[in-house]
Amino acid sequence: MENSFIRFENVKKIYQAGQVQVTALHDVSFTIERGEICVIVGESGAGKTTLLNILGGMDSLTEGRILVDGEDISQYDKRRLTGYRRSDVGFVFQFYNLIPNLTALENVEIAAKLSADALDAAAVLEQVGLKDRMKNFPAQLSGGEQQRVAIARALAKNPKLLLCDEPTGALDYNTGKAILKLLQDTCRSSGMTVIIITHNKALCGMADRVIRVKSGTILSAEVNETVTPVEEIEW
Amino acid sequence: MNRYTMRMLLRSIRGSLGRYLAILAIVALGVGFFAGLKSSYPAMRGTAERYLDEQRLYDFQLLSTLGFTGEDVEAFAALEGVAAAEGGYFTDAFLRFAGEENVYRLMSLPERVSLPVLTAGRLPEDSGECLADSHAFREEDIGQTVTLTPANDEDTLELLPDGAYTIVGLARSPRYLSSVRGDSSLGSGKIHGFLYLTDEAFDSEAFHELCLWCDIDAPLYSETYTDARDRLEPSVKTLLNRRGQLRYGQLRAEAQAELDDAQAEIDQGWLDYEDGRRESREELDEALEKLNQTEGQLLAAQKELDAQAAELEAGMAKIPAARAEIRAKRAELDAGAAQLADGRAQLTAARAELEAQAQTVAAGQAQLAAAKAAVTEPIQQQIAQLQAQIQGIQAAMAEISGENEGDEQQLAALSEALAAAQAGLTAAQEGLAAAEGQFAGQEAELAAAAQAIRGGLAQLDGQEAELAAKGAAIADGRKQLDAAEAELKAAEDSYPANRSKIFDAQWKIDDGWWQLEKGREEYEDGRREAEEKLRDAEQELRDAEQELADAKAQVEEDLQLEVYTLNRDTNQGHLTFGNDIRIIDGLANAFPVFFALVAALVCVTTMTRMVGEERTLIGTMKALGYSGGAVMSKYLLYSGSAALLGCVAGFFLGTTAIPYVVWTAYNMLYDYAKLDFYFGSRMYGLCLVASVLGTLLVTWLACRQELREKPAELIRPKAPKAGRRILLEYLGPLWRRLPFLSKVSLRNAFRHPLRVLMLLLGIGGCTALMVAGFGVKDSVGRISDYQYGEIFLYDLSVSLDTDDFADDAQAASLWAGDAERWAMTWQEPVTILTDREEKSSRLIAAADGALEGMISLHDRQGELPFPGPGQAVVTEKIAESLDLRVGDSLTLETDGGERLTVQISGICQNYLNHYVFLNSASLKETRHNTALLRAAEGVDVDRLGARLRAAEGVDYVSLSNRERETMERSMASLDLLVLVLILCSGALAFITQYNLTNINIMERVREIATVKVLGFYPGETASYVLRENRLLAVLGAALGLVLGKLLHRVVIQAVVVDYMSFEIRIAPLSYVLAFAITIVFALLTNLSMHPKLEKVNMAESLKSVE
Repeated sequence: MENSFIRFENVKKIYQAGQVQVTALHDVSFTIERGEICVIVGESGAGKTTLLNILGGMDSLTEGRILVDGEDISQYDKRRLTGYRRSDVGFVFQFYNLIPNLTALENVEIAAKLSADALDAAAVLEQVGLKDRMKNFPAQLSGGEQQRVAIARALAKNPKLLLCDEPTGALDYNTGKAILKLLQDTCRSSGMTVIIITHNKALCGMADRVIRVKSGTILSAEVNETVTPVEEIEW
Repeated sequence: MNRYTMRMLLRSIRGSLGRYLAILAIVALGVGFFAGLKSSYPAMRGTAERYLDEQRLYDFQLLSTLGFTGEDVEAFAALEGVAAAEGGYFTDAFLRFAGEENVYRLMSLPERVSLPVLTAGRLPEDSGECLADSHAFREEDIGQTVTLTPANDEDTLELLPDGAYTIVGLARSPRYLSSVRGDSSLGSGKIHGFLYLTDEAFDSEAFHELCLWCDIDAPLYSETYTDARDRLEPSVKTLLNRRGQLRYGQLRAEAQAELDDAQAEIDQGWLDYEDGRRESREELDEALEKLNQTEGQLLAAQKELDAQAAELEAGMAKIPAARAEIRAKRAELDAGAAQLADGRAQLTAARAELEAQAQTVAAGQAQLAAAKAAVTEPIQQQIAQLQAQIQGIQAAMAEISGENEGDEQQLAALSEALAAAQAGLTAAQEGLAAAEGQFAGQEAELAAAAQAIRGGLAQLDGQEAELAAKGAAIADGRKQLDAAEAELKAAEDSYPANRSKIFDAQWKIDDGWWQLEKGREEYEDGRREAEEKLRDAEQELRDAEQELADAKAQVEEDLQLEVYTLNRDTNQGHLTFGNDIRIIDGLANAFPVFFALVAALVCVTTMTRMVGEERTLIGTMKALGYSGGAVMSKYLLYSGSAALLGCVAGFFLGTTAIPYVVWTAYNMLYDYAKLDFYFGSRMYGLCLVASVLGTLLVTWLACRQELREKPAELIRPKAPKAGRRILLEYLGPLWRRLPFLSKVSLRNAFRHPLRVLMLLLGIGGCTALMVAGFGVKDSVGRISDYQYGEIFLYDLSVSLDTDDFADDAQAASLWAGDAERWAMTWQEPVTILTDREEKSSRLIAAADGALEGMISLHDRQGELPFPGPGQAVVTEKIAESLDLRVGDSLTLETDGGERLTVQISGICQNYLNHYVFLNSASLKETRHNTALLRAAEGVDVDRLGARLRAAEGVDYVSLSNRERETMERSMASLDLLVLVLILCSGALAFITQYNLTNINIMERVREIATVKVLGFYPGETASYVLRENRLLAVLGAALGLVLGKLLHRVVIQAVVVDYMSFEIRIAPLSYVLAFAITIVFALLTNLSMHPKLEKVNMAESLKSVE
């Protein structure tokens, strides 16, 4: 396990909120292998968002070490973290976070511009099934479509790692499933490591690896031997 | 409103302090700027008013060519409406202080009108002390002495007998509101400072001026004041004229008496002169007579001498001939002498022969004689006896005859004896004759021989005598020749002596001539001298006459009663101060509009945003049962309190800071008192109402929309504002070419039109304010540049006393060599009369083409042709204020009352004062009184000016550069004003941009977080968010340039100063500066937003949509 793709070693995160110290993460250690779909699941306030923030290079940690593809990102300064987000990580947000002023294509392009070995924006959109909606503004798209654009935006950068924060949280059941399917297919076809953060335990079935988080600690981190196709997942 | 809503309000304020402060600040800025500028005028006017009231600056300053007496002063003091009247002395003089010689205005220390303010030291107590200009002297100078210099003319020196004054104190004078001390005809023409002396220091019989302080209760520079003064003016003028006439009469009589005396003296002088002339003539004639006599004598003597000399020479010439003659005669005589010797020899021989014969004869005769004697002797003795008897008888007869008769018988006896004796005698005598007869033959023979010998001898003697005569003649001739020769010799010998005698004589005559010549010269000299003396005497008399005439003229001139009624408007400091503060007032009217507009917009956007943000809260409140009004009251209170606080703060800050800054700026020129701040309650009320009501209205408008919605709708988040294509996108080729991020910026920029408008207005307003500010400087501040750089191109204007010059050329000799070119003009003040109004102006008349290169007559289209006869070119301001157009006719009236009607041929640009330009041919006579000069290269204009000022016949010289300087100094205060404008507009730009960007960032925080998560570096993020700001800054600034131009026009039109004409002009540099400074402000604002962007937490991207 020494050369796992992602490796958390005794990660601790303490927030200083005024006089109060809040320990968000405590002695978190786990690994994720390259090409896996990993679902990190936990209740609200369990610390999964903190985990995501840290892994996504949006926040620093208080103690411990995080290795991504052999790089110790916990040692990165702000600028290198930005570089890491820029080229290595693709984000998919719960609320899509598309830029309302840009068309679907432009929303993908703005991300593609950041990465050196970016994919063609139009091709990626086509890949997520939005060939005909490329010129539309986010407001003219449905939630599912917006999330597809968001995924396309994340993929277009051709990152090493796709981080999805409650990708279905704002979507209805069917659309949610379609999105999950897209994520799973993408992972399978491109071999990209996909990490999905959710409170929905039902999603665990589609994961190669499931990490359970509670109160800032890892309850369990186990490999799912019986991966269920997304279509069969129910919630 | 309950305490909870109140608490919510307070928390809301605390939570969005930036927003609250933005409203507060923009209101404060707007109100402060408006109230500040607006109160500057009343504050400064009030300050001046108090100062001038306290110091009792004259309302009228009366001047008379004849001066004023104490009685005059009393008469004026008694005039109704006059609170105080005071006579005073003043003069300009050269004074030396601390080694420097300058021109000072010396005034008598007043006690009632125009009182100085003592700033240090004490008042002068005697004539040797003075109070000095606090502007020109320092406190350390107290105790030192100023002295009159010899450069002063006699009148001045006489007027100021003390000549040296110890400074005992420093003072300001209300006569000089500004630091400009005015002009003098002395020296460089600039008055360096003033000095107050005591009345006693002036040796003058009459006051030089009479100042009146009137009971006028009206604000300074107000029409009320002018009206009140104008009401008083007629009575002042009437009294002035009456007192003047009175004084004229007195002085006239005094002068006439003096003149009469002088005339009598001159008349006597002429009489004496005539006598002297006669005497001198006689003396001279006599002398001439004598000289002529001498000349006659000399001529005669010369003639004689010449004859003598001729004679002498002639004699000398005859001598050789005479000598030759003498020699010939001598030869002749020598020949004669030789003959004579021969003759003598023959004669001697003959004589010897004859003598021999004679001896023979003599011997024969002696023999015969002896024979005869022997015979005859006894007879002869008988005869002798007889004769003796006879003689005895005759003697006896002679004795008897006569004595008695008896004698006759004796006589007869004696006569018979006598006859017997006589008969005996006769018989003896016959006996003798017979004896002799016997011998006679022989005797005769011998006698004949002797005779013959004697004859021969006699002949010889004759011949001898002849020879002797001849010899004598020869000797005589010789003697004569000798004499002649001697004579010649003598003549020859005496020649040199004679000659030298003649020379001597000639010398004497020549000497005589020389003496004569000398005598004549002496005579001439004498004559000349006499004539000169006479001429001098005559000249003296004529001079005296001229002097008298001059004196008469002088009296006429001096006694020309001319009176002048000056008032505060002719006091330069008072006037310029009024104009300068009026400029501020004009600015105050135009500028703040922007601030009000921008403030309203800031308020709208801020409140809209706030209401938008608290949409769910509003919904919740409404759902909880609060009425719309109660909910709205929070926002109204929020913005209203911000506006109220801003208004109060702005008002007090503005009304203190801005007038203070302006006053400080003006202090460079007008340093006479501390500023009295002006807090007008009406203005305060206006600001308060306008700002608070405006804000409330704007807030109400912003809330109304949201509050109309149902609570249910409100609780749901508002759909995010959809992305929209903007117009530009339909311009495919251009849009495609735009960089990707620019498209985002453009779309962003045009998403909120109101905000765009606000930003454009804020930034544009900033630029506009600066353009206007710089433009004010360009239009107002550089007015003298334009006047003297574009219209009046000459360097010097020289007022000439026409009487002193025969013609222009003679006047021109004053500046020959120093002036590159010059033009002669006639200038005088005129009043322009139209059907409706009248206006005073200045007339400038010149010949065709004379003003070429001196005064440029042009309008906006280009050069104007010089007016022909009967035509006139007037300045824009005249045309504007009298509503005149080309082709209209106007009537000019000179001070002398002459009228002239001309037709307007052109309207020219002009910035200072009013002018009417005429062709000389339009005037009754061609005359000139002012020369305009352009100095030649390398000529020091100041020196030339000073030189001309000192020249005879030059009344006044004004230097263009000096005029320009003075104006510029007065306008320098605008610099600070412009700075205030720049700072205020900068604040405006900052507040709007900061506020807007703040809103923008708050609104787009999610988007910003997202792009950060996407991996934008901070620079990229900033540029992503703020790019539109930059774009709008450029657009706004560009818009501002246009707005600025308009604003500038409004401002300049609001600034009305009668004798100035401000052109609406802005230098290109002003645009560039305004643009550049705005951009710099914008960039600085953007830069200040960077930390805010940094602070945006990426975790925001994960939050749900509100």
